[in-house]
Amino acid sequence: MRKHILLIDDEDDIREVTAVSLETVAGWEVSSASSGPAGIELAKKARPDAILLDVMMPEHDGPATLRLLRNDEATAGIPVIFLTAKIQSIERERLQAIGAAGTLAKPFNPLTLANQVSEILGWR
Amino acid sequence: MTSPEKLSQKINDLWQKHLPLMQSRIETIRRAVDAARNNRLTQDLRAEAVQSAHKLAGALGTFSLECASDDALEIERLLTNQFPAEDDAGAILDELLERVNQAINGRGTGSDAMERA
Repeated sequence: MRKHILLIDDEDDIREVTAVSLETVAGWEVSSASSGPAGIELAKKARPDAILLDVMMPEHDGPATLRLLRNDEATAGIPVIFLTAKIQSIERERLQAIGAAGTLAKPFNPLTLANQVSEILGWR
Repeated sequence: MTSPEKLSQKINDLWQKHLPLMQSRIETIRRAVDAARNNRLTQDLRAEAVQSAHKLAGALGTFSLECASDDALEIERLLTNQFPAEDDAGAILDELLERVNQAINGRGTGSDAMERA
């Protein structure tokens, strides 16, 4: 069955590159939102297989958005992968400790992004 | 057309679409550097420039400009931690900014643009 990914990122260019990468390389369906609150609403309606969530966003940042997703029965079980700038391993551990399935560094290689997502989520 | 070729074409199209955004981020940083040189750098402009550098660092590498992405990351670090406290930070920022600007304006749109493909 075709996977459905929800992408939440406030940067238009990153959102669009990520979407074409996952659609073209893996054939996944990608929905996107430009803010945490919009992403949460979309997640409740669409029930995606996974969410890619930017860490640094205005107002509701990635960790705040993840907490809201985890506190809602409709979205609590959806795996979330953080997209973030180059980070130290301690920061990666902190993000995973608050409930993320994994982290992916920005910049990423559009050709290998889908493989990285699959590896983190055990979709192989 | 294979998947990598299709992806390369789509990403090149997105690059053309978002080129003005990349250039506007450069301009924001340049305004901050110029303002600091004239002792007119406000906290808001500094924060805007840091955010622009951060966004450039994330985007440029994804569009296959890895060196420019690293330079943007260094710009972000300098703007956040040192600028303009260190005397030579302005000159270093000018050089980094010029390198990033050249990389942005020199990025090809053909298959060579996706170096990693």
